Amino acid sequence: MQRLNFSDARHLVARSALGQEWHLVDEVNGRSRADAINVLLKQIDNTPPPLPAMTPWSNIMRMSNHSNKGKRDARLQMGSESGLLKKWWINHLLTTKAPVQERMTLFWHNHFTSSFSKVQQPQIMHLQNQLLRDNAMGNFAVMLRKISRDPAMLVYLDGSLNKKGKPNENFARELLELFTLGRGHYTEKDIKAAAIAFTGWGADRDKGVFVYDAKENAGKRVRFLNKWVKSGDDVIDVLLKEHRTAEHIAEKFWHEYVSHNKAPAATIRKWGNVFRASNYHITTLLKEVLNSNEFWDAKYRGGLIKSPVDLVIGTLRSLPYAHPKADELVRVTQLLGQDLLDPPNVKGWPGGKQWIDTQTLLVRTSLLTKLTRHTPTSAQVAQKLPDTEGSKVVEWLLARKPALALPTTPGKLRLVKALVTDPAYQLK
Amino acid sequence: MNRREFTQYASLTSLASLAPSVYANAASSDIEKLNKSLQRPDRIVLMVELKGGNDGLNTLVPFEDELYYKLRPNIAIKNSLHLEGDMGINPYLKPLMNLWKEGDMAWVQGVGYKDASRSHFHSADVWETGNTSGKGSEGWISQALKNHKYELNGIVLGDNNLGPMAGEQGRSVAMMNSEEFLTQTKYLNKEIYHADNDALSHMLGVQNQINLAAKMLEEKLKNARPSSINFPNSSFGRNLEQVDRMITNGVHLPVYKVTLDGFDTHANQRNTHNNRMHHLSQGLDAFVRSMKHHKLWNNVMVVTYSEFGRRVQENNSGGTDHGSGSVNLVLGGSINGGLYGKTPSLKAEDLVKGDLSHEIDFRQVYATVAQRWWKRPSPWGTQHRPIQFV
Repeated sequence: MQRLNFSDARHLVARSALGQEWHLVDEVNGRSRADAINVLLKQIDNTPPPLPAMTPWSNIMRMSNHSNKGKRDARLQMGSESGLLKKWWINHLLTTKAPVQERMTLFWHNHFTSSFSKVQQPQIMHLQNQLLRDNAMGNFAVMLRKISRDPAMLVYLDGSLNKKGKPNENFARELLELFTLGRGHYTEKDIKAAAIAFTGWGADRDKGVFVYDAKENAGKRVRFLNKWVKSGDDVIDVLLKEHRTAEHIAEKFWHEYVSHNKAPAATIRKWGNVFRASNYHITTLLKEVLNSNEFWDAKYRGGLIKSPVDLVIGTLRSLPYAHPKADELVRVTQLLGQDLLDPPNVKGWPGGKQWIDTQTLLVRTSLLTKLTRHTPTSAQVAQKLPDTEGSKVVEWLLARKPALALPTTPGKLRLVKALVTDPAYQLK
Repeated sequence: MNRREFTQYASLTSLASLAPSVYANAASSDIEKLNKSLQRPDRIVLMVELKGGNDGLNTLVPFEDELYYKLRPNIAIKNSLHLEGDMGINPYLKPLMNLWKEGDMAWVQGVGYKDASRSHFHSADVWETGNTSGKGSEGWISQALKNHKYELNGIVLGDNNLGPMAGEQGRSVAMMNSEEFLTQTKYLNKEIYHADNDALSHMLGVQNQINLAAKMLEEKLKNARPSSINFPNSSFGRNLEQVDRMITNGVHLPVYKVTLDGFDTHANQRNTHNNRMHHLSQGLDAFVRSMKHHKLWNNVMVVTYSEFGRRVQENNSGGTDHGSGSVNLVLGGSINGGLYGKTPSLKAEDLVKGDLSHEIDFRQVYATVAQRWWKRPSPWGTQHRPIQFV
């Protein structure tokens, strides 16, 4: 049986967890692939810290309706609470004992996107965030039904405005284009039909629950992807029977876990089949991906550009540097182009090479330079580093050989600083 | 990265690799070339992206058309400012009206492309690449300005999306503002390294562009004084102020880009859209006044674009859904003001799936900028004929 060497172990951990924490790398090192993956994917409690207090929606509405000043105050209040929510998530990403599961939560946030800037209500954004966390490693079909009833999603994509005789196509379009089939596998007519089927689905923002208003449902059969459907659930049923839905998710897993470049069609077909055969069990798909030869292929290693969360959270989880304050981390991830709970649009963050442009490369560089700067507490940092030889530190921190020359003066802290600020550190 | 590509990257950073700091005063063939190119007569374009899908009909208003009011009972603009014939503009564009009178304002109407996409992302890709499959990775400006002697094509302010200037040959940088950019550049690696994978060579290319742009901005802006014109205190206003500061201090690049967001008006459009128009005109008015003050107005052209227009008929949320066919606004001291293109008909039989039909392909606007302004060949050869607005 093939056993993981140290570099394999680092590769697996760096791509499936949040950073390459030494203890995780150490734990999977020397195991068989399947065993290592099972260890990493073991269900661990991923309960986030307690939530900051949020103003109920009814109070916000009362403020807004009171006066122009009230409206402004309400907006400020929502804005500051959304900031608290962002800090709360950053904290959880930083401290959770279940980094593999939390990476999946983030993955689904980038798939079933919603943004605070449109939804304007941190409370229901939090409900959606928890929905994604609860289902992150569960069942995609279940999650798809839940997200279609999710109050934040119903507001974000105007589903709650989609009414009998006055269809709003926003949700229907993205359901087909982004959540399931992908572009090119449906027509404009299908979008219109799906919008009609979903009429009457809405949200009670105060209670944070789904509401179905039968009066606002079109109450008629429509032709959708060559089948008759009458309700939103019928639409979802049809979508879940389409091969493309599973393949679309498989493609996203490919880009998340293997490569920014296009996946071979055969691989996607295979993963899509496995996913559908498992009835959309997410952990099954993830195991298939991590066990695949493509995942381990040398030509793909060190070829993924780290996302801002990989870079910031991953570095802080793996190395013993002092943690900047949560609001600073929120600001940094924003500057790096990954404003959690506020993705740029419904397509989410495009990722890949687009993570690094003339603006974000500068922020990445200055962040890592500041983090690794020599301070009075540097000696303590040095003490907390793993007790191992320099060549192993290089192998641990970099997915490929360093791009720049390493320091010739000895010193572990100096070496780590050189590695973290090396261009190769941006890759995983 | 193959040998040829590597040489290209290397040539872009000959100085950066030798000097210990971007601010070192060593001679650089790149920076010299760049400075030389900045002394030539300037033909600057400011691209203004109206993000979210600007409603063309409530921007350039067919105020004599009964159908317009019939199809938009709640959101029709009733007090548009008369331009000529049956056309007026949104009243919140009033600060720009003097430009119309001076012949410095042109509108291109009925602009679009065949089988237009109604997806924000896909259609934005189409508009930015000039490729209707939306699959190209090279922006249309990168295509139009390739094989020319500029070392730096342009700067995007306030957004990291290079959009029309994207691509490996784009030679453009994006920044929030110049101060932050210059501070951060201090930490950036200046050495060239061997980039033997795709991701690394992308990073090296970005690094080289930053180092070059930083050196140039540092030189040009070190004695810059604050503008005498007040710009609106909004992110759009501040970004325009940055562009203004660069241009008035001699950073005469072929192109700048800023973005005004918030045009996706599915619901309660009236206030939202008017507010966007207000921000647009306030910001551009300040920019134009500054250009005039510095006697640069004849060297500058402002061009707006948006990923799509919106449906002709309003929806039941007091908004409009994604449509196609829209308008581009062009401003400039050297342009031929006026209305270009036929006003699209609102009659049911003339609409395409409920959308305005287009008579002008959006690439004709680009071809005009490329051929008649920059004097560069159009990326599409003779396929899309230029328009006479300049």
